[in-house]
Amino acid sequence: MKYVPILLILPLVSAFLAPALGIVNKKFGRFFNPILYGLGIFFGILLFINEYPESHLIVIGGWRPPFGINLYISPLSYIGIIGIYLLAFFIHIADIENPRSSYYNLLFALFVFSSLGVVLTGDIFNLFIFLEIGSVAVIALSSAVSERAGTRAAVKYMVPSNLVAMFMLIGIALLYSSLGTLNIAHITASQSLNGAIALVIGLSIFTSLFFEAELFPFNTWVPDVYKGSASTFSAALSGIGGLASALVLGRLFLTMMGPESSFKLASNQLSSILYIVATASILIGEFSALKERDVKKVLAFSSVGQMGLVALAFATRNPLAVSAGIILLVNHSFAKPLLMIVAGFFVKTTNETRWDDMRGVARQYPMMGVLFIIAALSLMGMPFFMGFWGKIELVKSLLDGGVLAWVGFGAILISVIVEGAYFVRMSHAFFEQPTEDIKIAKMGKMSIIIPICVLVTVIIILGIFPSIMQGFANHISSDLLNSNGYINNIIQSVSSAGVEL
Amino acid sequence: MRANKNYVIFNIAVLILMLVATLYIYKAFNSKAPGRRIMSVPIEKRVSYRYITKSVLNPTERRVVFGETGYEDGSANLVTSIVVNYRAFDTLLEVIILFTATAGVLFLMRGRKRTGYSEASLIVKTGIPIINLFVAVTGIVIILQGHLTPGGGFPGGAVVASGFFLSFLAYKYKANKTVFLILETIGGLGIIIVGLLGLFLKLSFLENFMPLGPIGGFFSSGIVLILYILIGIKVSSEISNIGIAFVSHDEKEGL
Amino acid sequence: MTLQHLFFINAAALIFIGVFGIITRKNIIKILLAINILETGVNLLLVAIGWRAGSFAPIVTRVHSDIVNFVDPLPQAMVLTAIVIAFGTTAVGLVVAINYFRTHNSLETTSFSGGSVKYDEDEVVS
Repeated sequence: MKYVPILLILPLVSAFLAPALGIVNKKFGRFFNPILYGLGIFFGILLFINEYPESHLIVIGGWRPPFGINLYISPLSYIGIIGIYLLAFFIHIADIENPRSSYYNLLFALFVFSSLGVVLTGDIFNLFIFLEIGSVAVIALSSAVSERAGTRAAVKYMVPSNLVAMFMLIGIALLYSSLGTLNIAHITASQSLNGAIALVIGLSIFTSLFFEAELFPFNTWVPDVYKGSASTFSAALSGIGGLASALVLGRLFLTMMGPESSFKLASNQLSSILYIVATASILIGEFSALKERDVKKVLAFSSVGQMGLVALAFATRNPLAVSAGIILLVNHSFAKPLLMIVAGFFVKTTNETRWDDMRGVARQYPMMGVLFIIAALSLMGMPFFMGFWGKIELVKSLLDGGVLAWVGFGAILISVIVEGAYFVRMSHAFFEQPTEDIKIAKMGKMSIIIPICVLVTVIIILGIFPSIMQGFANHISSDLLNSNGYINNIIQSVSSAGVEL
Repeated sequence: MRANKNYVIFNIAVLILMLVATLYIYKAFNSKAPGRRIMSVPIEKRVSYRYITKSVLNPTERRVVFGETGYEDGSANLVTSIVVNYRAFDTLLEVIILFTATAGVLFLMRGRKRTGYSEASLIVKTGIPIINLFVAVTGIVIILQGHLTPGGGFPGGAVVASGFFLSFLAYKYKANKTVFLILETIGGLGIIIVGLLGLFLKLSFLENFMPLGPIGGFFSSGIVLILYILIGIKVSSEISNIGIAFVSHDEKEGL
Repeated sequence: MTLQHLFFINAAALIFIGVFGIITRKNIIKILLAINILETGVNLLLVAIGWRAGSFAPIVTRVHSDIVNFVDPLPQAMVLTAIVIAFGTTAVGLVVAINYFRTHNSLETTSFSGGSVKYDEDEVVS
């Protein structure tokens, strides 16, 4: 159990070796990185089989929390570790026939490391540094392939990213001056903060979380970054980045700012803010996707809408709704990379980027077209796909809520209709009779077929047997909502901020 | 400058909104409702009091005396004891951020050839070697004395790298990126190996496994000296790499 | 009006100027400068939080031995890290600005129509 930090620093081994070995082999990491990600999947599953569903505290540096930094292994982190390593492995395999330079692989490994770190850590300043590592890696990777659209995307990501990171640091500074500690469990266990100050601190931390999770006021970067970067990197951003940022949102909003924590006097107001932001993200995301013509931007706006659904589920603080949110999150994290990889392949073969210029491309590659449709159906929430179980549970829980929950319910209904419209329209365009002036190149697709088959298998299996996923999701939601359990596992006493531990 | 009317209105609107927000935040900080407020925790009740008295393992009221042994951590500089011992994982991550930024700069500036070069003047060319001597000595002293005086690996590494920068500016030569990349790799792997040694010899990653000495002595702080030397090597080679990417005159294509 | 209050007012002013600059400026270099001003303000805020009246710098020396009257060292450790983070993000930001200038031949981001930057919406990026 004490060897768990090795699971976290696996990507670092490749990253630290890359500068020197990159001189010898210009494409270092093409085969070394997937080995490391595969080891990560293997050890993650081993850990899961041995320890589920207990939670463990991993101390780093030998000093127990709240004086040292700790990692926390819980149902939330199992899904984080296995999901992130799985997605990283298969997205890297999809890229293997198109070898990238050693620095690209280095930055990708550091992006995976930062996403793992935000899910595992238990200290809020540590979380801030992990978010900054991720943001520098994303800036560099998104302008890697294209000099024009990619650089515009990097600028559009970089400016708001630095702004919200500084807001988060201001929130951490104010939190430290009011409570005297930086450990998340100790913050949750402290005496209650003044209502207005809790609102200010909560908002400043929220800005950073909303930016990472592609939610409404900070989602201007999403379409440009998805379009301007390589499609495998957009797949990684939506899958790994979306998974990690939503799990962090869940941990900080539900556990640290819950109704039994030190933020209790502002907890209802923060919930209302999250309701409004989530509903706005759903509506704005889906309606923008409806009138968009570029295929990668359509998928980007659809991402914004799906993250809005997950945030809406978290805003209710209801155990059933939160577990429905987890199911929707896992559904999105497996379906959206599939859609992005297939869309990128279609863009490469037809050399067009608007979906109405790509008519008939799926007749040349029927298997990819069919897998695209399956993933789109799962996102829409068709029965017998994974998205259906998530949406139906969420809708049931929202009907018991207050006024804001009814507004969210209305937004979900509207979004289902709109999603159906644009996904069906796009799939129809792919399968139509091709027009005369389209040139569809024949390209090798072996390395792309394997990952997307794996991803679609996961979606289909979890859709036909929903009880597997529902069991996990219930454990995760009870881990997130149980502030006292979190505190007891980490600092073994529910004390005030008198630090006499 | 084109004074676009919409732009001016936008600026004024943003200014008014920000002033209103500042007013609200100021009133929130001074609200008299129950609950903890900003700056309401004296230092005795913060986490850092136990760092000051070096009593994380057993809470005592004993104070830290210069020259004595037997404390749980050996640095005289309390900030160093936090940065490299109590919260060493944050320092590892800080090193990784600098590493990521360097990799990003080298990656995005690949394939550039520098055009145009203006010769440095005679004063610069004569003065730089003399100044570099002082710069190098100062940098190495700051790195090595991180646990006794303010400083450590990060400022010391930056000072050493500024010496390299000065010579890139003064002389036209092709800087060899390979040496710096190898140094960077040695530094990074060294830090991970020290952390793993802590994991295998003792109980957790990055734990101190070397003996401690008297407060104020040179060999007094366990792995702090080793970590700071490795961090100094890594930071100076990284910043020099960034300098090469921006400033020096490499005739072959970068990366 | 103690020294700590002056630090707080100073930090708040710098943060205000930085945020205003990020939101309203169009030139990338000006935005990067505003980001740096904001980061300086936040560092000042962090340092000011740790101050205590009549205390000394947190280093145990021959003179300041056997006391607990030190300034809080934890915010200073946070500021060390924050300065390094600021350096990293500024370096990458400048490289992105260089690349932007090379391809678009202008340093203006197009947040207002009427800007001089023309770009192709239909560029194919695979």
